[in-house]
Amino acid sequence: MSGALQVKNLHVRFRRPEGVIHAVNGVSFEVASGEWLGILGESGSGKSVTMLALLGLQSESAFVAQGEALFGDRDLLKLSERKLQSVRGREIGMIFQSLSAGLNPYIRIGDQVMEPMLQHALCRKPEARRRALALLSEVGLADPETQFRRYPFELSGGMRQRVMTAVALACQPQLLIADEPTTALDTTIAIQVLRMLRDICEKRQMTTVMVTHDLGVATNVCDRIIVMYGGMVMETADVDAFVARAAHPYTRGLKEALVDHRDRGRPLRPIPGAAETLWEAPRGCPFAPRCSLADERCDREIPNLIALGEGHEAACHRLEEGMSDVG
Amino acid sequence: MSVEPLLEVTHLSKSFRVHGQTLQAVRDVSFTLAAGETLGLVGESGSGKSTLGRSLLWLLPPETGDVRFAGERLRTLSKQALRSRRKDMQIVFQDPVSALNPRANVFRNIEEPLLVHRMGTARERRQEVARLLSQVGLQEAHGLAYPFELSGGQQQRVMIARALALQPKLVVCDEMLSALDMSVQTQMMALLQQLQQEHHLAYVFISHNLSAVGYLSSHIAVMYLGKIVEYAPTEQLVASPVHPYTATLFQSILHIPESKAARSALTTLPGEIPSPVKVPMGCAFHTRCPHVQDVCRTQEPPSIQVAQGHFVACHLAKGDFA
Amino acid sequence: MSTVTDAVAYASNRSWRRSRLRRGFGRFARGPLSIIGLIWIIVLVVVALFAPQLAPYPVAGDILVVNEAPSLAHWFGTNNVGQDMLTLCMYGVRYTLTIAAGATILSFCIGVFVGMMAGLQGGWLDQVLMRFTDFMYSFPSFVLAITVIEFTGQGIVSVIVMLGLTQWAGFARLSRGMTLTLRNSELVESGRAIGASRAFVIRHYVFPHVWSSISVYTAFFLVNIITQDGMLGLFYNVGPQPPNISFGSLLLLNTPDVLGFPWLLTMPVLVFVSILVSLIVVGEGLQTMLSPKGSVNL
Repeated sequence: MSGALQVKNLHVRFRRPEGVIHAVNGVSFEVASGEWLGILGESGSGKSVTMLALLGLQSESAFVAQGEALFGDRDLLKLSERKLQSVRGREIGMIFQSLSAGLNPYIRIGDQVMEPMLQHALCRKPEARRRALALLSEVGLADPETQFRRYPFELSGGMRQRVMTAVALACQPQLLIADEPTTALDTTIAIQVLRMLRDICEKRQMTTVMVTHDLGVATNVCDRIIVMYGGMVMETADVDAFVARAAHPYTRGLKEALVDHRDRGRPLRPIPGAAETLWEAPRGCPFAPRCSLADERCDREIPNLIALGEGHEAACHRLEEGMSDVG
Repeated sequence: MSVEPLLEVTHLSKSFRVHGQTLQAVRDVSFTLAAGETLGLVGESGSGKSTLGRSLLWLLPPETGDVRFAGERLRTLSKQALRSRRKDMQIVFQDPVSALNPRANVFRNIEEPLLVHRMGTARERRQEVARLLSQVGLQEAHGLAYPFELSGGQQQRVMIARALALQPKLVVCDEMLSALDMSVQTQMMALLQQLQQEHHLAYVFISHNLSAVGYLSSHIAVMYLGKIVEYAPTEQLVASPVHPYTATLFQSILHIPESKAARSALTTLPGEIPSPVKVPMGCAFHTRCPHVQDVCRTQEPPSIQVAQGHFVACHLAKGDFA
Repeated sequence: MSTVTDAVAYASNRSWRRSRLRRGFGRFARGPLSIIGLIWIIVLVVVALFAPQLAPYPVAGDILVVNEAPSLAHWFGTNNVGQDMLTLCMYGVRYTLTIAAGATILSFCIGVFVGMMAGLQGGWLDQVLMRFTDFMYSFPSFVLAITVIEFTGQGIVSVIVMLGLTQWAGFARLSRGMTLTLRNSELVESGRAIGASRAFVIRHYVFPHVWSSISVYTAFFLVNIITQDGMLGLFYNVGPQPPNISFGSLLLLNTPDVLGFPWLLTMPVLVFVSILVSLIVVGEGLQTMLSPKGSVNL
């Protein structure tokens, strides 16, 4: 399998008046062609920053301190802004969480879907129009001719997310990056959107990276899941290994903490504490302050990812020491 | 069962005027809640659950219907009497940043309810705030911080401490988990549980997070376009939902699957919830219902009892239970 | 159930112990210009308060030293009747700041009261008050002020009253806007939820919110008032009785001699402009002090 995207040792930092935030601290991962990769993490885990940095879309105060991101034979982090623009939207499609940020409120839906095709000079206007209509129906909008002429404010959140998907897919990218695409939506609408995304990705055999904080979403749609914490990869596993044999104390804690009506009566076991802003580069495992298994080695030595099985790795000293009584 | 419920809501309706149209947020809602119990209020956005939460506290006085709280009818209370009644019924908002006073530190925010009701001396209040801080899992030093300096979970804890300061009997929790990280959500649920046990609190837990509602609530009311379409004890509701809306809503929860093969098929309701400005005729749900019949399009289904304490408003439900 | 206890990092919490005011002042002090402006304003206020004691010469002037250039004896020079320009400038500052403070306080009180009433009550009262405010805003209030002063006579009080009664519309609009944004906010709702009375909500939530943006506006309003007063003196010869003198009339008196004796113009103008500039930089400092996170923009 050839890798569609290969990220190596990525470091991203933010400059703030109070100091420097170490948001991403040496993240490496690979996305295989055609797979659906989930990046799972809580706020501050660096999951979104990682994806934005790859596309050169990080905020002005952020900078990439180190790292490589190989997309085909190019390093995305070394491309000029102009070259990156020709990659973004054409070879890599993007969907964002915020339903207001992705679309221009003053431009009709149809024009926004046509825009990337015209921008990247893929085709002329009549052809772009024809393709845009096809895209709008592909993302599940009934009556695309009517939707074509509407403005974003006339659409519901779910419909806007569909339109954004159509914009992202307009140039038939090989890679789709979706940042929390369903977080702002109601459960029922979120499922509709996830299903639409899944069907399209399968049909087009598109590689997808989805950033999410929702375990349920990640385990139900992704092929493989990367768990991030404190700007580092804690664990990576395909879904089967993830649901059956998640090994890292953080991953296990997250799974334990998720309860529903079937758990009624069982005491809650939340992970204590909260993620903290990293004002300096972590010296040990970033999860150690909240980990019930941490010892002093965890505080002073950064754990490496160790292989636990086919496509299953975790970064934890205690696992390395062959602890079997985790949990 | 002669014990009087803590909260009794009867035929509550609340609408708003929006650009010359009437938005029917809550339509003829009735239910009861006993002390120490939790009612989960679920539904999609636009179902009117937040408006109901504020109406039953008389923060948004309803047009018709009444609320009986600890035996007292809120509609009959004077402004003054209602204000002092508020000691017993509190609310925790979704977004603590906008509900807490940004110009006052945490200490002052928690002390404020005591000041309003002129309770205790300055020294007693200081001790009380310290006690409240530790009760919600914060340190005394947090009292000196300003709300914006805290994390989302800590802000929500301050909000809870503020609500608890008056030792209420009922707390309405309005989407209080949705802005929090998943690990923090569970912490907050544990805190709610613990406080309920310690203070015999009753909660109205409003959320679109069905997993959390299913875990915390003793009863669940499912709302759709301003109406409660199904109401039952939690076990009963999840085991045998009668209303098609309830059934699909609970099927839509994405649980962690056993294996890749056992994943959700991602099936759910078609379409979206209609605007509460244009509530459909007949059963409001008929536009999305998989089992729709002719009668559903014209007649509004009455709420009937299908089992002990299990009420459904659906033409297809069999109401033989006496 | 000890799991709910937070693992709090105390290292960063030390800053909480400093009061909000001091932290706010830290942001104000970050711009050195604001500090210089503030110091200069303090100096001017002291001068204004003690002008009779501090002035090096009597206002009346000394006929023996007419039109002298700036020197060690007369830092700002003298004019054609032998008055010391520094003395005149000091009295000018005294007069200007009195007018500015008086008129601003008056406008502030009227405007904030009208604006908050309109915003809180809503309905017809809001309509009536705001139409009246619009009327005051668009009415050539300057003309009104001059006319009335012609009748009531010159004097500090009448200038203050006239400016104060005619210039409050901006305060009213701003405070109404701030009140409206807050009226339906979760903050006010949360106040009502704890059983707070209307007065409590206004005093503890609405007024501080309105005040934070009004205080910045006030600094710029002072600039406006001072300019207007200057114009009254310069173009309409409206001003106080001696020994008080406005900068406007100071310039007016001296204009015939300016060509030969430039200090008669430059010195008062420099002082006058320094007042305006320092007020502006202080206003901007206030803005940075009050705007960052913490004073949530509702």
